[in-house]
Amino acid sequence: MNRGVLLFAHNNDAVDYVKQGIYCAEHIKKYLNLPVSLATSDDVKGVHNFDQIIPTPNPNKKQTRNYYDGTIRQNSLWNNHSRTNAFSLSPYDETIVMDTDFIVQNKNLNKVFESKEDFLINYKAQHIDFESTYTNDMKYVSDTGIEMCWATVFYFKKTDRVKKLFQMINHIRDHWSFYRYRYQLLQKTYRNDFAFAIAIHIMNGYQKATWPKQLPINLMYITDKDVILNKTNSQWKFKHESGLISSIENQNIHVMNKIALNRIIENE
Amino acid sequence: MNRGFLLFVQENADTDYLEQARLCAKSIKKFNNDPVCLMTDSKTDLTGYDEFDIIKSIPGEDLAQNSKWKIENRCKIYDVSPFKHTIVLDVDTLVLENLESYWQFFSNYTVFYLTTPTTYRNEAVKSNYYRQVFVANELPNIYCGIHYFARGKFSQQFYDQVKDVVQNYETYKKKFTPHNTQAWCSMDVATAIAVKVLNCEHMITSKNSPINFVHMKGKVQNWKGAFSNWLGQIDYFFNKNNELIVGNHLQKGIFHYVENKFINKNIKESFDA
Repeated sequence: MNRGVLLFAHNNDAVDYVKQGIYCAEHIKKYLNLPVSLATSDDVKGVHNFDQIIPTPNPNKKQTRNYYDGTIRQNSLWNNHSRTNAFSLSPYDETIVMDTDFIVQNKNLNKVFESKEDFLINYKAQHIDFESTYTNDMKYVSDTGIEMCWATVFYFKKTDRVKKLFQMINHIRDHWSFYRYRYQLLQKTYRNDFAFAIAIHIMNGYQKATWPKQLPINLMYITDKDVILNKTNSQWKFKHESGLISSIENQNIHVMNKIALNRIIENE
Repeated sequence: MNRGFLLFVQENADTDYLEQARLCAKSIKKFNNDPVCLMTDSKTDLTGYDEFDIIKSIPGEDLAQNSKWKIENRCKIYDVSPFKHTIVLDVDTLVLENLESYWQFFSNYTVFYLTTPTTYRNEAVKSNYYRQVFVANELPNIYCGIHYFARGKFSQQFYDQVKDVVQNYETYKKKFTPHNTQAWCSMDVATAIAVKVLNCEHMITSKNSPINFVHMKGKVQNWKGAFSNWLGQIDYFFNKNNELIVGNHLQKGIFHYVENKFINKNIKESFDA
């Protein structure tokens, strides 16, 4: 069985996702020792560390979102629609898909390959300040809605069931206005976390079930309102929106402040 | 008769409990072969209401003469039930599956009440919003929406005590619920007081009960928004397999819909089919 990591990158005015992908791939290779493929609609210029570059169109030309860098806001295109094609695009039998702003800093994710499960994803995420409470906003897709999951990182094998899951996710993506209404989502923008949560819910017969199980990692994150103070080797220091300062080392981290992350990448 | 379901209906000015009881009985019949007994004072001609196998009148003095809600006579269920083993359901409930596993679990008890209802998302109810009198007075947190009793000495004693609380609620409420006192008599509070008087909570409840019911009061749905009426927040329908979906969640077991407007043409048709 060949194994690897699949990343998606579609650059916009605010963030150079390809550059992030190269940085992300460096960490994957260092800690997980896995091949990395990049699915992208952009030209990958110069030196890179990807084993394969998979050209894929960018189906979104109009959805935007706010990108924060602490208190500074920038509105830009949000090209997150191609991730739902991970099943068909992946060159691997067993694939880890992750956001390019997810920084791997230990070997824990390799435990997915010891699992017999065909799909693994996180239902919970933890802000690293450990003060932000796990509210309904984080637990459900909406106050009255179904349980949330986090498509930041997920693992899959190419089984029939997972193929159907991705068919369902693509269907939801293509009929987003209906599903957004049906599942009482307040925001209009298409979001993979929600589409995955809805598809899993439907596949499980509209109820909580034991499939899919959680990834063998805690999904730790900082938000885009948090600021990166500095990064040395594998140690990151943050100043949070609350004013709290924290640091981590050897811990995987989802750096949602993508603009600050790109500054770190440029300085390394 | 060995076992069956008992439903209680006393007519009042506000709610068509008989219609609710008919729907409840039909839902029981859809998944279960056990007989349904209706205990009622209804003046309606019940001929042809085949969903009820047995119809019994409310015996004795009307304890609800001065009551608007008219639930007081429900304390006579033990006297009226024709069954050795009885499951009592609120009439604003729907049974959505075969309850054989419920009967098996209840057979471990003489009397059993549930204490931990769930939301439509199948999560334990966290809020005490509607249970202030229970919390303030340390009453056992029992729900009468669904409960069980078997004929026997203890059950007789237990329901005699419930009757005494209902008949003398003014006295009992002062003694057992001095804080957040509930002016009117409800079966939940009256039964909880009886449990406290008899010190039998350990005999009639279980914190690890696998049996539960979905409780659709708006403010116990673990929502951030403080919504009184769930019907205004989420929708519901029967899917093509005739399964009840509420807020995109499949419902099973016993569904306590609470709000009268829940019953619509589609719901009735799904149980008439």
